[in-house]
Amino acid sequence: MTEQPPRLLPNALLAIVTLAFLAPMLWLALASLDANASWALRWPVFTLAHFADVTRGDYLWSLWNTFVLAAVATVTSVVPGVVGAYALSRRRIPLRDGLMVTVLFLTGIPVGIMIIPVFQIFAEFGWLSLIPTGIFLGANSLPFALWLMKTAIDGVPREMEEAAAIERASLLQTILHVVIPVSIPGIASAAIFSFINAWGSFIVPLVLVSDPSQATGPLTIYGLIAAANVRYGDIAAFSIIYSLPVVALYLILSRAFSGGFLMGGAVKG
Amino acid sequence: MKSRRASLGWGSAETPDGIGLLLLLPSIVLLVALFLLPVGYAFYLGLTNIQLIGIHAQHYWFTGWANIDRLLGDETFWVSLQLTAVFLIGSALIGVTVVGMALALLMQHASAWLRSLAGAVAIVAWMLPPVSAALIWYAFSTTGGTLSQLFGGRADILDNHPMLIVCLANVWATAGFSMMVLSAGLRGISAEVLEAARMENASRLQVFIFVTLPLMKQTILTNLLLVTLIILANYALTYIMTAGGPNDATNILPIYAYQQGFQFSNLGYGALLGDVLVVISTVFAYLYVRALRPARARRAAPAVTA
Amino acid sequence: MPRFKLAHLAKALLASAATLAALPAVAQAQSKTVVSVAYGSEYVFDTNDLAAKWWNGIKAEFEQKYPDAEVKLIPIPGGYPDIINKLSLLYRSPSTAPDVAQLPTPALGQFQASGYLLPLDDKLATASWWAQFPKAIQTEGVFDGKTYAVSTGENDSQLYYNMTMFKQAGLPVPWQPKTWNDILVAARAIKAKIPGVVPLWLNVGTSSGDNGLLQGTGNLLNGSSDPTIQDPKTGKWVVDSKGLRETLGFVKTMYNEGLGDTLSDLFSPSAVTIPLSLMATSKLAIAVGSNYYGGNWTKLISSPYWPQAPQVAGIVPIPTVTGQAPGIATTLGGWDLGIAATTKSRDYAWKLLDLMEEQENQINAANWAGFVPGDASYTKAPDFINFAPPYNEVSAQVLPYGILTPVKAEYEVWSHALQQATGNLAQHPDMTVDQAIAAMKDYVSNQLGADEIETR
Repeated sequence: MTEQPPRLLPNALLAIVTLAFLAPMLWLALASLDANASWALRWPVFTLAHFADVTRGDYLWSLWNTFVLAAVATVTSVVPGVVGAYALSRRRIPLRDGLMVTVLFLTGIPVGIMIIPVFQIFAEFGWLSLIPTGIFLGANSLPFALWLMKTAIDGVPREMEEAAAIERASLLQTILHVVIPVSIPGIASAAIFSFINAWGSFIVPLVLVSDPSQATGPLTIYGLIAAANVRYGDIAAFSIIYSLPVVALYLILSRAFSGGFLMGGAVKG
Repeated sequence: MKSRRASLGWGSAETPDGIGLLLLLPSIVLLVALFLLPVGYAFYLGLTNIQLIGIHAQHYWFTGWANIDRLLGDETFWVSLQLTAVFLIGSALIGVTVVGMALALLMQHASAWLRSLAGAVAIVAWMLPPVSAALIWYAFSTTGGTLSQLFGGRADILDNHPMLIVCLANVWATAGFSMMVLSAGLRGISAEVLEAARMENASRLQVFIFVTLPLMKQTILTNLLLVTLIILANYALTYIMTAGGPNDATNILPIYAYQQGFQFSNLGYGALLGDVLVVISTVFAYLYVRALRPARARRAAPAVTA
Repeated sequence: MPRFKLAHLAKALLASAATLAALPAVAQAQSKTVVSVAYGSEYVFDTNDLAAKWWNGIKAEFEQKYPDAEVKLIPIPGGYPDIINKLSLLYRSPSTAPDVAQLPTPALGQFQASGYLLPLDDKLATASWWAQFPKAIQTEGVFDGKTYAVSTGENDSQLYYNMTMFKQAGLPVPWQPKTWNDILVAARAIKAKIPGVVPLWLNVGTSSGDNGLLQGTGNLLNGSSDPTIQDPKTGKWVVDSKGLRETLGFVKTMYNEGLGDTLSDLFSPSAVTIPLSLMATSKLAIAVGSNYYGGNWTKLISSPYWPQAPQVAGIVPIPTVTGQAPGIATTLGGWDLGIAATTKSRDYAWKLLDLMEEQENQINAANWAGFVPGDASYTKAPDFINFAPPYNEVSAQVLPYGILTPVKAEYEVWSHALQQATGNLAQHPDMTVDQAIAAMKDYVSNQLGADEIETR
């Protein structure tokens, strides 16, 4: 390319779009600092009391619970998913194409439809707690994770695996040292997707987690809305704190992969 | 070549691949136990008279076609189906695809710092859990909220145009995902192809319509399918904002299913409504596969990595 | 169901293995009887801290009284529908069913019909407090001649009015409305004389669910010429009656004349809490409100704290439509205690229930959750009366006039239809009562069947 096209128009338009995205978040920022917070957008009577309120023990505990839940879900979907995706990509699986489409449409099944049977089963086994719920959420993200990682592995040149075979590498070594490193962007996308899904999950922990000491962030926020005495400032403050870890995750990873990693291989599916 | 492939155990067209199946086993176990089995059971429950609480809470039985008959004659269901169609067209088809494409295109041509900012903001909107996003949008669109201030402060956009606001909220919450998918697709279009088109004196718009879009077809369709499925599945956002209201104006099918099952205690009928959602998702997946088939047949060489 | 047999088998095997392994340990450590109790931890009491205080207090008191027993608290977060949903799920399996549960009155019939509750009559015969419950409150938990649940606190409704504004508008203080028209007359006077305030608060629409009805138009229906919701003879649901038309007519008139609050307040998910702050900031003149208002304005609860409330906010019973007998209208609903049919600790479950019904615990619950105690003698206790004078006294007085809602699951459909009718009338000024009734009839017959509805 010999000339750079003028950037003014794209910049202006993008700036407008960005502002449109930021506009709703404005309330969150202002209300969290407002001593008299309400639904209305207003200049705050500045106070840090809300942030103080929501960094108390039990709130931080619910953040930790959410993290445990999301971590378990991510591991549950990525670990079986990686080897499963490798199999789907490289191995002879009967009805593979049909399987892929089934896996894809499983992505769209509303979780609500499964919640009663799963509750009954988990209740029978005494699994109404955080970790089994995390496994369930991981299983929910597994279809999309498989799909993402399979297309990422599809993009790994077979020559690399053949080279490893020449070096007498075992299958496990090939997967660990050749396939995974090259398809890391796809794997990372799958991990992030599973993590975010579990982090934001509301109805599933509401039904499956019995013990209030294991309540997750969304449940805590919901409790603040449902309480007889609604405290908007606290809700806004806690929403911000609760969203921070995920935003941090994105920023770190996008720096690591120069922003172009997500969905990289997926679209060639 | 052949012997190396064989030593890698890639198998051949005739023999099933034991190792492959073994690798796939954990995924299959998880999917069957925690996905297919509950869904299958939910399909069964959809044909029973089970209640959440009531005389049929513990003593329920298979009722054959009864629930399906009810479904076909249920006015509220048909209205809900219409609302869902409007909702999906407004949010997934028009909203997310258009906004996502706009973002992806603009970001390609904008300055680096603005690109990072826009990307981060869209991603944050996507990453926010539905509870927070619902709160934000509720505050944004109700009387006294930011949007309302633009129209004179007392305007209640949410209650007077609920479907519009609900669509906007879902677009806002999903556009980031769409942006990422479409950006990757745009990056996959080689610069030479675009240059060649420009050489032919094509305008920017002509390049977009006649070169970029056709090359992006696969990506756009993939994105559309995924976004439709995601929006359909994540009804928590809409539910917290309006609970289907005001007065059933946003009573899309996932919310109606929840209402039947958990508010009216008709768990069986609610499960059947949920099954309809599964059927809808299947139809979309099938249409997607059909739409891509010609492209698959034409593809000869492995695709270029993004 | 075959699927669960496998689960049962696996669980049984595991359990027996674990038991065998643990036998020696069990022989040494004498395990306590565990009694579990499930309750709404965020919705029922006026603040979450008070809820925790009351329940932890019960646990401590019980464990001190019965050293060989232990209380397992099962708090249920979220709102009213979340409590019902969670309880419904917990009761499904004997291993998760709570020994004692705090159940919402409107859903009692369905919990009983599910077979989840234990009849309590033999135990109640020994309870000293049971005889003090008014008959209407006692029958709240009676199904098929047996008592399955006992009240742990009731809610009813009254009118609250700003005495300062009334004087300003030339209205009589104390206010004694005898008919619904008296309410409209007062609201109109406020609108004319005092701009910028909401004249009258009446809950409409679907956002507050059943509660909206109980705290809003349900009171009007109960005071109308025909409060019947479900015909006791035919079992059919009334979708057109003089009573419904009077109620919907009031709603239409009120909102057409601009006497009510904005839609965004009415349709807000937390609508029922809005009149509390509007009154406290002198932005609302009259409210069809609930008995917990007075308590909420005290310093202890502070939602919001309105120290001048007793001097500024008057309370008076809601009148019947034309002042006909009995002259007072209110809904009735609250929370009850029930014991699980599958409980393994029947005696201790009863002991826990008995403890919760003791005077001090009941009065604390009443004050901290905004209830009127079921036991009539408790309502006369100074601790109750003086907690939020003069409100608690009046709330107790109107309790006997309350009418319970029907117990069947189909009531939810009827309720949703009426909520929609009221919401639509408030939102669309050109909608007529006939149209609203027709829509209600359509909806209920669509959901329940055309042969389940009737016109009176």
